Amino acid sequence: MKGVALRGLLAVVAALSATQALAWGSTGHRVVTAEALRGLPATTPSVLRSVEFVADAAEWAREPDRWRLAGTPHDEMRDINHFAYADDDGRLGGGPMFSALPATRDAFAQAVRKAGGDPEKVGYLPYAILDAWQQVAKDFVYWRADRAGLKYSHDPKALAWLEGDRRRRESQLAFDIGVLSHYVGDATQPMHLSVHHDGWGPGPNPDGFTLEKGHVPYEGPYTAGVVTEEAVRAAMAAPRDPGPSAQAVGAYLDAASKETRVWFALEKAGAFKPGDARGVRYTTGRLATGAAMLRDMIAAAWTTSATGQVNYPVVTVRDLESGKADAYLALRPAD
Amino acid sequence: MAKSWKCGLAAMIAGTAVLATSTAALAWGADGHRMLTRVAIGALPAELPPFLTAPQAVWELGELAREPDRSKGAGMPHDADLDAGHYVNVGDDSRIGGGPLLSELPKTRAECDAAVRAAGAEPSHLGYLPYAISDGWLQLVKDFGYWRIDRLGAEAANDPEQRAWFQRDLKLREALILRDLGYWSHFVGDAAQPLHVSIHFNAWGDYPNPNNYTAERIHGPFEGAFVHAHVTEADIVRGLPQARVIDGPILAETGRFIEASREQAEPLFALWTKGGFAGDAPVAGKAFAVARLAAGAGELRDLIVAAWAASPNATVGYPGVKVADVESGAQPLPYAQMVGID
Repeated sequence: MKGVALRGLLAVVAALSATQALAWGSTGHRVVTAEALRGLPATTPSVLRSVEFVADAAEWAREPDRWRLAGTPHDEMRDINHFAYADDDGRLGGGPMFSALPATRDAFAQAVRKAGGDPEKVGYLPYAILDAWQQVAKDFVYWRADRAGLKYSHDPKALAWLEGDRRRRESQLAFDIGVLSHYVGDATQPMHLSVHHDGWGPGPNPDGFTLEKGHVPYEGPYTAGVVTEEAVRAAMAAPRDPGPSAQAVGAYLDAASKETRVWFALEKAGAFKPGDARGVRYTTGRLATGAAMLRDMIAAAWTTSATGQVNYPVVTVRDLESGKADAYLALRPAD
Repeated sequence: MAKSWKCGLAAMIAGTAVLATSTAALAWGADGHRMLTRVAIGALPAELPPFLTAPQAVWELGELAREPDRSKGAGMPHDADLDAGHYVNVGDDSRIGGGPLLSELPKTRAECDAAVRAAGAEPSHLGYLPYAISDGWLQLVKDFGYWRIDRLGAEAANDPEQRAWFQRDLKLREALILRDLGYWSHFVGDAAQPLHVSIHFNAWGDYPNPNNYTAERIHGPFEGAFVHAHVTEADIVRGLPQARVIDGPILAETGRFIEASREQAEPLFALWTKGGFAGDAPVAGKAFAVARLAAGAGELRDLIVAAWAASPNATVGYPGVKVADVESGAQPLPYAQMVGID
């Protein structure tokens, strides 16, 4: 696919509607996931970096696209998680900004409606990312609980149950990390964060940016043709603590949304034409940004889970990991 | 990381304390959800793929049925976004917030929200269980659609490399089906608990009470401790209703099932008030609980069968290729769409 012009690719993917863009296609989502997991620090469980776990999570990172076209109300509830279309002034539906996101999806929807926008058209990507991140942290809490039980328990029945639960939780973790990866990856596709999501569209266009619908050809076939795992790995920033969750995601999305103009300027300059290194470098950089963010989010979720608790009855991880509380009783309660 | 995560955890602890006391019902507790799902899987007809009913799968599904409760307390916005999926507070007039009727549910969650708001109520306080159930069922149909293509490819793809890819994807899809089915089964179970689908969701509440029903908060004691003490899996198996073919729209079926459950809220209060759930051998109370759990297990069984029956009409890949067209040979194996055409 390498070297095929965007214009030519339009015909290949003409059947894909712009509003249902897949963001990065299968290749991009696989690469972001695999490189994030391979780059995790040694302080995280080694199972996360195992060949099988990486392969499973990378495939499951495609699921939010694979589950499209399932019908109503499924599609209407889920498809809006892939994007958040900011105006040129950085506002979502004329209301909230990435830097000051309301605490919940519902509060966000109310703020957008209050500003005269339609939240269903603006999209909920920030909340999809936050929700998935918190789910991964919760999964780690349960994984720690299983591991603690396997360390301290001597009852064969409890040990068998805990071992089964640990394995099941690891499978669930791979899926939940895959879903988180999908949305973190979507955010690095500049056209998932702007009202200019498929060509510059109507309205003022002083820079004369393209009106051509390049969203799908860029993120899918173009990306698959120019990106390699090795290049993404090399372009990833050093690990860092992403900081408080809402602020971290807000800042990540705010920075990513500013890439929209960069992308259109590059397109205008011909950077995505066959053989042009600028487009390759840019696209590799976008995916590397997503992979680094995902790596840091997973590592942070692992750290946070040490102070978490399992539900019903509430038992802290600290008590479970110190052997003060019995993990089997905590995880398989008698109501 | 820290600050807001730690703040989130602190809030989570406080939230859990509130939940444990009253409103935050888990519906059926760990035992009820586990048993309901295991019984439904055990009652599936032989036409369904055998991987669903293998002993290990049944164990996993039973545990996964608890997962939507186990993931509570993950923080904000996770909890606020997901917790409302466990219930719908329907009025005695069968309307949600005085707006949409269960028998005429708007086709999307957003439309339902708008209709509730138009009726002057706040939708996020009333829950969206019908949409959680419908969404999960459609996901299962989709999963089965992918499974059908994977199975076909794993057996019939001419290219060994493609065959190997399909075999691996089949394994992944089976794991994902267990996850999706188990997780979703929780909501079908919730719908069978009358106090998850009624404005009288805990105590009778601030409504006219001419029959002097108990002011006790019966939600938790009914679904948790009572079920644990008095109901077994064998009881639920014995109470299973006859299999029923579901072939209408999923939202209509969901509305029908929830309405039938809601109608049991007042009888539950009546029975509780006259002591039907007290004592060492609460025969009437046990019969009531078993009937609700069995109704949930029967509905879950029938919905799974319906999802399997609908799956030939599902599509795989994007743009979609219809599963039935591939199975009939009208379309070639969509290897490229399955691997990803980017």
